[in-house]
Amino acid sequence: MSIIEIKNLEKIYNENTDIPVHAVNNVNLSFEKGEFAAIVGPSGCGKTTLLNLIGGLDSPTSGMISIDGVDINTLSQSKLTNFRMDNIGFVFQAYNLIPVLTAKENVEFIMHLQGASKKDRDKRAEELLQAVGIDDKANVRPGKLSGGQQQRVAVARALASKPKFILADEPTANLDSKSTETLLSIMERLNKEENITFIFSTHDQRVVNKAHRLIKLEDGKVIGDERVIK
Amino acid sequence: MILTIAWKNVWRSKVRSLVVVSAVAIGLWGGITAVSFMNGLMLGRLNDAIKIEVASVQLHNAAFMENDEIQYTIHNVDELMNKVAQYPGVLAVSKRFRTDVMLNSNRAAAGASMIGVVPENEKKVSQLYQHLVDSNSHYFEGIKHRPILIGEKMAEKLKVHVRSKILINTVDANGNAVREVFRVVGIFKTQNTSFDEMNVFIRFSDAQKIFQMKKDEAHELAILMKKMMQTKQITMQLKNKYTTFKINKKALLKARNDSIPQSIYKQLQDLSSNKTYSYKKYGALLMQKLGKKHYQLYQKQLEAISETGLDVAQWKHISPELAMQSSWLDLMLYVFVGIILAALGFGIVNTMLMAVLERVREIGMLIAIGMNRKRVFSMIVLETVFLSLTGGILGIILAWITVSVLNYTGVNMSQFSKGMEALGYPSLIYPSIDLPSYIKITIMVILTGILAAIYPALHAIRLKPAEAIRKE
Repeated sequence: MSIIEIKNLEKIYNENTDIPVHAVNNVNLSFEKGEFAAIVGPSGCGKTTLLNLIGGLDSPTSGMISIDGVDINTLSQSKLTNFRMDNIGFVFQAYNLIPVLTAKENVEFIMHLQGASKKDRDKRAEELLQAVGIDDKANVRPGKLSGGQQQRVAVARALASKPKFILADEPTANLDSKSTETLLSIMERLNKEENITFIFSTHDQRVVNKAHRLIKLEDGKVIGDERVIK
Repeated sequence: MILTIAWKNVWRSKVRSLVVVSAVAIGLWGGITAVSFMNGLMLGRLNDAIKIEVASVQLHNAAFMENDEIQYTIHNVDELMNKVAQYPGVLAVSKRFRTDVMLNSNRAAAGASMIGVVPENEKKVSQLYQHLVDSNSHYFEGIKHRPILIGEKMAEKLKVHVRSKILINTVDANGNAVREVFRVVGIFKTQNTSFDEMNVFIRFSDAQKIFQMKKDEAHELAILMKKMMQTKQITMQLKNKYTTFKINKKALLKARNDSIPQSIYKQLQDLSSNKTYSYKKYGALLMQKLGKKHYQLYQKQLEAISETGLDVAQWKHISPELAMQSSWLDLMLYVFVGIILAALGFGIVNTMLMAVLERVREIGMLIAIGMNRKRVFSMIVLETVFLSLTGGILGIILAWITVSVLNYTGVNMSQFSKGMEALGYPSLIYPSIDLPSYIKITIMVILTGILAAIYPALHAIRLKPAEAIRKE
């Protein structure tokens, strides 16, 4: 069963001007539970916009996005924020961790927003940091972690709320080869062992090589959607 | 966790936060210290006024308060004195004689209020005996026949000194002229030059003889309380006990034609027997008879037609200008600190706005991962309150230390003493601020923090996560 259903999705910037920009153009897609999919294409093709729309960070000009049967465009701002918290995990290109909190506190933060008890938060944060191989840095602030380590904390944070899927916008763009390799292995393992759904936007060939599904985007249109048998 | 993040965020830019904290601390320190000076000045004046001039509470024949003629005395005053002295919180009681006189020396004349006191009792109520200036001055000692104590200003006016003769001219209860020679036994000087100029003191026993008063009559009973805060309570107790009311028939008849409607007149007529009521009962009776609305509407007129027995007044009513200055000072505290905080508030708004603008991407991320706008708003408000409160508490502590030290040492303002004494203020000031004022100032600081947070917090919650996350 599809966890994400996208129908006739359009996003037009500067709609009422002489030069409207079709960032996403009539996109129809669906994602199943446990996918490891990459949205690929050149810079400016609309990858991030599509990911933002799927994540409910931006609203479409037209079309529909349904997550687990919920049309997210019909939700109010506050309901949408809560919906994101409970259903979607985000990994950003620039890691975007809270600099004043330690790695563990960063992971715990979203669980705190969800109202989890201190005991549950502690336990899950430790498990997740262990899963991404950074449990020895649990009490270190992001400023003292390398880019790769920060991105692993970001993955742990994205998983903390037990989301239905994780959206990762160019997660390896700021990482060196070794860190990229480590991060991708972790995400691949989580996908394989825990059946966690990952959707990336990327133009990094190393990510493309690991993806099980490649969605090619050009000028906001899906020009290819192929499944790679590993 | 939001509290923790907010507190940690305050210290992300240490220098910037310390600048704001210092500004708030210095501003409040200056403001509170300045207000403590004014407060000390006022308290000094109040203390002098109560301990030298008016006492905490005064009792008079109610008619004397309307028209201070010599015949309106308190009867059985010695018995009353003893009873009042038994009230808890009463430190001392002294009976006084009062009348207006003309004083004549060989070279000048001046009007004054002449107060007859029992020296040994008066010493317990008034510290005037500690304010004698001439080295030959004594507090009713040394001169057996008709001693008089006068103020330095009056002595200058009359051009007299200790042991000089002064002729007193006045009238007795029957309107007969009274001329009596007194000899200056002492010259006093208080912080209030107009008090020194307007009051002269003689022995109560002399006043009794000259004005042929009965043995147990006096015009005034001055009561000094152990603690100032007990004044209101004792005033109410004495009022309930000794202030009796009844309708004045003549006044009621007059009011019917001038100030009260016929319906009210009729209802009051039923009450206008010779029966007297206690202060409490009289008010309750009038309210019951006329209804609350009419009672409040005609309160002034009702007071005018009510005859009272003893008038009990605390210093605030005897010296309303002091009460006004005192409440004006309370207001000044808020105005002064309010202006300082308002100015600092703009600085805080600026700092917090900078903090928000620097963290657009982070705030965008927080909204993206599920921190709702209420929580983002609270976080910014908390950060601002923490920032202001840190400075506020620091400023309050600094001010408390400064005020405590100055309160111990006192501040000598003798270079301005002439001007200050003319207004009744002491030249040695003991700055002070009470605990409730510190609490109120802390609340004002918190409110400033909340108000200063609104604009930056609104800016933060209006961020669009998709755009904010990509902000460089």
